[in-house]
Amino acid sequence: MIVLAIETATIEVGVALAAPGGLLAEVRARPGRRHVETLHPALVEACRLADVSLAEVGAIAVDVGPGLFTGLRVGVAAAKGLAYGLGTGVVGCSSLEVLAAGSAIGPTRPVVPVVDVRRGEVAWALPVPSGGRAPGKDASGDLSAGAGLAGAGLGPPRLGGVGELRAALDAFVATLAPGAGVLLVGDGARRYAGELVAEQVSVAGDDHAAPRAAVLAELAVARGGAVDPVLVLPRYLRGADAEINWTTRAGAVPAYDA
Amino acid sequence: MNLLGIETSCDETAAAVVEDGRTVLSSVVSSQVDLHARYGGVVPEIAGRAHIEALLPVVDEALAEAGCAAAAAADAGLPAPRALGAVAATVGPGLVGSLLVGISAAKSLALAWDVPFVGVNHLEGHLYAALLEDADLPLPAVVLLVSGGHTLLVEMTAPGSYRLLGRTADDAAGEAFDKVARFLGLGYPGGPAVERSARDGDPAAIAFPRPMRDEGLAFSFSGLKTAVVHYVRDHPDVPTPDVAASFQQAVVDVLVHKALGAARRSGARSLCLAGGVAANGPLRAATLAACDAAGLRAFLPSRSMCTDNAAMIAAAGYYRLASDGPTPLDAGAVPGLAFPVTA
Ligand SMILES: [Zn+2]
Repeated sequence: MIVLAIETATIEVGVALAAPGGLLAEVRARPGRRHVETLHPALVEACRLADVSLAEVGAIAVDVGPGLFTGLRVGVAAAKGLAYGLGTGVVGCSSLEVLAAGSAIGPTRPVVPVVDVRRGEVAWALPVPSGGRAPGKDASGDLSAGAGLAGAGLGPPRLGGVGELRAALDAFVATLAPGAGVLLVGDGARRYAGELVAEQVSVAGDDHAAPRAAVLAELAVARGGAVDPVLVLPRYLRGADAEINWTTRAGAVPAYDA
Repeated sequence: MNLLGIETSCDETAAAVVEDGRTVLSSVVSSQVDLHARYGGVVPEIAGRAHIEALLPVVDEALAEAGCAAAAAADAGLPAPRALGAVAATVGPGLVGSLLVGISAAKSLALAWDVPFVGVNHLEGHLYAALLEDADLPLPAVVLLVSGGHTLLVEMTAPGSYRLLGRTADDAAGEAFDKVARFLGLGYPGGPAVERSARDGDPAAIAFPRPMRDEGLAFSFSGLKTAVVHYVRDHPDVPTPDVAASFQQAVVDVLVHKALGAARRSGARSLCLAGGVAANGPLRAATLAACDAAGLRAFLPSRSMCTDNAAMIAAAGYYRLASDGPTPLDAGAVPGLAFPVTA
């Protein structure tokens, strides 16, 4: 079955097609915040490169976040529309999982994905030691890392300031063997590298800043488990209430000013 | 041709199927008004989240009602589901985080069904309320579009052919209702709240100004709102219903006076109301009376056609597709999209 994957959780837009035999095509663009302008042309281009028509697509995969709210809504709305129109299901994956799976380099070097969710906050997930936890759904209904690709699964996603991530990393590193270290990946790790890099903590380069549609497509092919597109929603981690003061200051909510 | 329209510009998630730009086969609206009521206005982040949750159920219901879904067609005894010829979505004006939900989904549906995508101007959509509900509407018509975001006077000579005659220089009429309702503690949305309170008041109790009443076809409501605030501060014992009724009367006077002037000046054969404020009872009554006196045909939209809906987007999309062809897939949301001048 062919999977079409949509990746819009960061400032990068990606579309990829994969089949059980491997990756068929991937298109990546860095449009700034122009997700809705960029995504569908990229989708058409990916199908052309892979020589696949949409009618041949058996499932849609989409990154449900955490990430940029605008990007997530564009990607999830696009996935819903495609799946509904084609009569297929949707595989929702977390951005943290896609990042970790794309950067796994073996069991000796745990990877910690860190996504910049703006307003001074990052989202991250700590690895769960292999064998400690079977891949599958966690308590919150999210899917944990795919077997075979990431090596180890991820714990539940966390949201907080860089200081909170620092503290979590310190505690995590203390459980590792002497001399071992963690590799931070994702745009959150890049942005706050100065505050995060430490003796046992390093930050991967820009190649590992954005989750890749190719990784998402292959995760979805390996895992399956597509659900009704109605059920797939962005995973913001932050409540809408937290955005209200910000939008009010921006003048979007009419304020009485006579 | 059957066209699926999707509307997500503000706080309604809507989908509709319209045949040939004229016949509404289905029109489904999911309103978020309760989600925003406690904030006294539309909160963009809450709206964006609600749209993405409501989108597919609303589209699904619209297609089923129209007989465009396989299962529904079988239930209705149709040999095959009705085919769709294009998918239209509002591209602006509106809240960017809400617009892009509808745009992204509409482009995807168009690709999946291999039909054109059409981006529609929300304001243009409102003009089609009249043509959808009154197929014999004599043209040219002057349309007074009054909502929470807009106050426009437009001359429509044919579907797809319009001229902007006047607009508000500051607040929209609906915005003035919201602000005055909030100041008077009447609740949200402001239009119905003011109208309710005004029923117990005397519209002639207070002589509020009629801003720019006799100065061309432009509107201004910000000064009227300020006048209400000053009056109430100077007369703390004034009954609130009298303030609401007198304020409403001032708005209605200005709107009807200007709309009638525009119709006379452009030689229109009919005068149409459109937009959320077109549901206001006194505005409808005054428009009807003025049209009767002037020998003009009046069009008053049904309540469901006043508020934002997708049937008007599908109708506008039908004529846009005929005149301009499909919209490219790299089209984005345009929060401040202006009214399209085509005549
Ligand atoms: Zn509207």
